Amino acid sequence: MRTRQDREHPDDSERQGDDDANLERLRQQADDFLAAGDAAIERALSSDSEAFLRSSRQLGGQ
Amino acid sequence: MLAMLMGAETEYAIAGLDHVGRGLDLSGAAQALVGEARRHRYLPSMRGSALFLENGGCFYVDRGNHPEYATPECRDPWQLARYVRAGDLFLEGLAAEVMARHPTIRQLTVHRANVHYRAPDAVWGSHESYLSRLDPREIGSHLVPHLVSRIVFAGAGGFVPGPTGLLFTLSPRAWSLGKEMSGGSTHERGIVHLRDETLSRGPYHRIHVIAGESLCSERAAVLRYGSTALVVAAANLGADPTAGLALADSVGALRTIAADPTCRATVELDRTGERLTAVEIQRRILGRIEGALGGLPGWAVPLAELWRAELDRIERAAPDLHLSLDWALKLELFRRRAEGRLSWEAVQRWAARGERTEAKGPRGSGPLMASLPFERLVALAQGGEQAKVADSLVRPAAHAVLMLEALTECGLAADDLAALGALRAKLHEIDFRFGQLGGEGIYQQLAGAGLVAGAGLGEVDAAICTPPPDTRARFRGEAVTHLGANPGALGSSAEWTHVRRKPDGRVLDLRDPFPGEPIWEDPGVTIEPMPTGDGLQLTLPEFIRRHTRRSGQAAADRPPSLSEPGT
Repeated sequence: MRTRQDREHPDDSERQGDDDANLERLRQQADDFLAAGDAAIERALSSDSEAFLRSSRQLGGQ
Repeated sequence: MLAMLMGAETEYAIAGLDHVGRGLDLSGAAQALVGEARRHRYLPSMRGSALFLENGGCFYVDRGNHPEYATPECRDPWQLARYVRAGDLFLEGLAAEVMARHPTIRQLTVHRANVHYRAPDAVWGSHESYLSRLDPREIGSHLVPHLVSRIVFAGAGGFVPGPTGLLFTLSPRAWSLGKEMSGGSTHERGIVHLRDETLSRGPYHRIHVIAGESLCSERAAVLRYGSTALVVAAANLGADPTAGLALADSVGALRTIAADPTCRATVELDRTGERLTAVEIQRRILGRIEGALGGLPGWAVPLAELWRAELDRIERAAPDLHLSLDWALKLELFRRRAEGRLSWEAVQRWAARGERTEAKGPRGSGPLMASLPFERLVALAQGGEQAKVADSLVRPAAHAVLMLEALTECGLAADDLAALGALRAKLHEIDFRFGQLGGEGIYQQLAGAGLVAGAGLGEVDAAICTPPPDTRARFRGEAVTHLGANPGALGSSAEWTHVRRKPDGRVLDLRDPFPGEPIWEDPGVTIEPMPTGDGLQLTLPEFIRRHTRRSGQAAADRPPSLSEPGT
């Protein structure tokens, strides 16, 4: 994996450390996001999606 | 330096329950929102029932009984995105006020939505307007390659409104655009809209773009407005931002790009036959814009940087693309709902084949398929119901046979249909709830937690009641503030191009898009602002305090960092 930081830090071991940290940050960010997404959906959805969609059926516009 | 003006209209969907839990009368609910808006300072439109607001924008109920908000004229894409978001807060507050005042309404929610999958003819528009010295016909050819390819960052994400309703797309609206150019906006919609309602005098035209979609991501919205404004601006400067990029089949290209969440699909150019991805088309447009930066507004420089960075992220399929793009965020959410036998991949395979059955199968049965419970496919295919209403179901029955064959080819079975139907309903509700305004909406929950990328929009709250300081909207908004609170000025009215005040009947002429001073017909007459306090009007600052979620906004202003190129 190459990052902008890689090109600024030619030392291999340092680069590996940056990669690992960046990857870990992204993983953590993804985990947080997905957990929050699940919770948001749980909170937002009705108990009967089919009935909700029927009741919200409407005319659109342009 | 070329001066720009831009604006946006948003058609909102509404939903809700009455006091005994039945679905709400949506027409009545829309009118209740208007009634609530009338409790704030406004001036009525000279024509129709629109209300002009203190921020210089406009609120009304449009055809289809949906509420619609149009921003005031803005100078740059960040300002425009701020006023679009201010409209969300305004609508959210109105809905809360309606529920508080009407005991027969238990729940009223307002949504940024694009397509109602159970009624595929029902779409909600999200239109843009750009000031231009070139007319729509002159600029149309410049716009088509941009509007077709920009959906890689400006697509709302969702499902193809076809027979399965389960095939993911970057842009559901792509399937509502059947022509390259057209004058219509409700039928026979074109990628480029040729209507030329200038709303100004002099050499100006208004380029009205109806190909766009309602977005929740502020960053995607800024890119959408900014990139399109720069294409319009560059063309006005005599540059040709899309030279050599005319598409062999623009409607087909739009759907090809919309159908591919990897963003690697290629489309054919007209003259050379060269095949390019949407990102490659965008890079060529951006390159030409960057070559013309000297004549473009100052905001073009940071916008071009943002544009290039997002194209980089899309091209390398950045793992955190969902932080900044609506379609990528929805894709993550949808994917996690499909599990077990009904994996996302299996569902997408079947949906793709199901969509093709509409193309190769009997014509005219697609809309029925879209609203049909999947479980009924078997009975329909077997002709079990054909005897009852034979003529009307012959075509759907043949269509159902094709869809069931596709099911088998994808490793699924008729036994999976009930689960597929339940999954479809849940995914469609997620799509609808994604853009729900307020703290219950899925996107707003994530934004409130600081989990999506912001765009530095600044004080959105203030934009509800304050017009942009540097466009003609300022004079319109100030007139609303002064006249709308003045009982002595009853009967005053407004339009985009004029304000007419009562009782003296003098007119503020706003036809010049860049007026220096507000000049009434008789400049010797001044209208003193009247204090509120008549017991009927809630001041907008108070309204804002009651209904907006400052904590969520503050969190959204602290976005997570996005991945660097190369990760």
